[in-house]
Amino acid sequence: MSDTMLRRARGAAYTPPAAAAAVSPARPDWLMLLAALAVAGALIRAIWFTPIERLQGPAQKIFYIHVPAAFIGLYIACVLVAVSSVLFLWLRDERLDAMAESAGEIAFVFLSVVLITGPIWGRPVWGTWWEWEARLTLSLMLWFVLLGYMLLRNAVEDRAMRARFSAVMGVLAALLVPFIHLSVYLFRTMHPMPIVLKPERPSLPEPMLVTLLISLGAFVLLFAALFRTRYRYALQRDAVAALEEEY
Amino acid sequence: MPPDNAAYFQAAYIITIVLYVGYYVSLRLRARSIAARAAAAHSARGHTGADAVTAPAGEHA
Repeated sequence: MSDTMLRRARGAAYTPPAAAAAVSPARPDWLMLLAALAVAGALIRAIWFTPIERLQGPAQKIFYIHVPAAFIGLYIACVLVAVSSVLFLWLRDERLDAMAESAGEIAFVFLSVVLITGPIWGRPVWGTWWEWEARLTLSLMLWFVLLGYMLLRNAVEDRAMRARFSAVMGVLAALLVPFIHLSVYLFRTMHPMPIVLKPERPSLPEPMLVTLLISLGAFVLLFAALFRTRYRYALQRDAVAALEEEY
Repeated sequence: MPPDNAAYFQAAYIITIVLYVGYYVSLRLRARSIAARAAAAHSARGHTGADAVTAPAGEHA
């Protein structure tokens, strides 16, 4: 570990009250409580107060968890991994490494939701659980790259080297995101075209669009709560590790 | 008449909730474990005081 990193880590370790309070298991997590309430409200609206799609039936309600998970996993979490990683390579501030690490793990969780809910939706609508077409295959590739990113972080013991290697891998992982977004335009694919994220007006009935936007807001809140918890954990873990290294 | 396939969305919702809740619980457990390690490290530092920096490691056991 470089002297600067060690000094900063020690500095963090020597401020125990703030660091300990940040991830204290006994302390109520108000942001998470708010996010849980928002997600519960969004799901209640999706299940009981949103019309059933005429052709797809109730299975179409998977849309309200699948799309927010994909949007957040790809366009928020993966982009955050890339931005934090680039900034880390430039500024060498280990807080940026902790941000990238946290966003990468949460991107993996959200992408797991996408890859589980997608096939469950595809079975009744497409008649198959999985199809090796561009968008699904690229999403699965990104999932494996994020898995590799997390394994890499656990495999390298030297903190400075681990941060540098994983920053490069984080940027490479995020390069898949534009390909996943454009895959429905570039290749012949079973996956539907975007119905909201497109230049024209969203092609979705208003009650469904409102439910989608509420659900998106609720899951963004969930992402923020998870990210905050994970980021604080990463900072405190590094501070404790630095303290333990010292003695 | 829409097809009757509610079981699919119910399964998807339950799995999604289990995944998110499971992940959050794992974060809390990890935070608890690191808080215990932090407390142990700080208590070791507090008990040994300034001597801890200069004394041989074996003497702190």
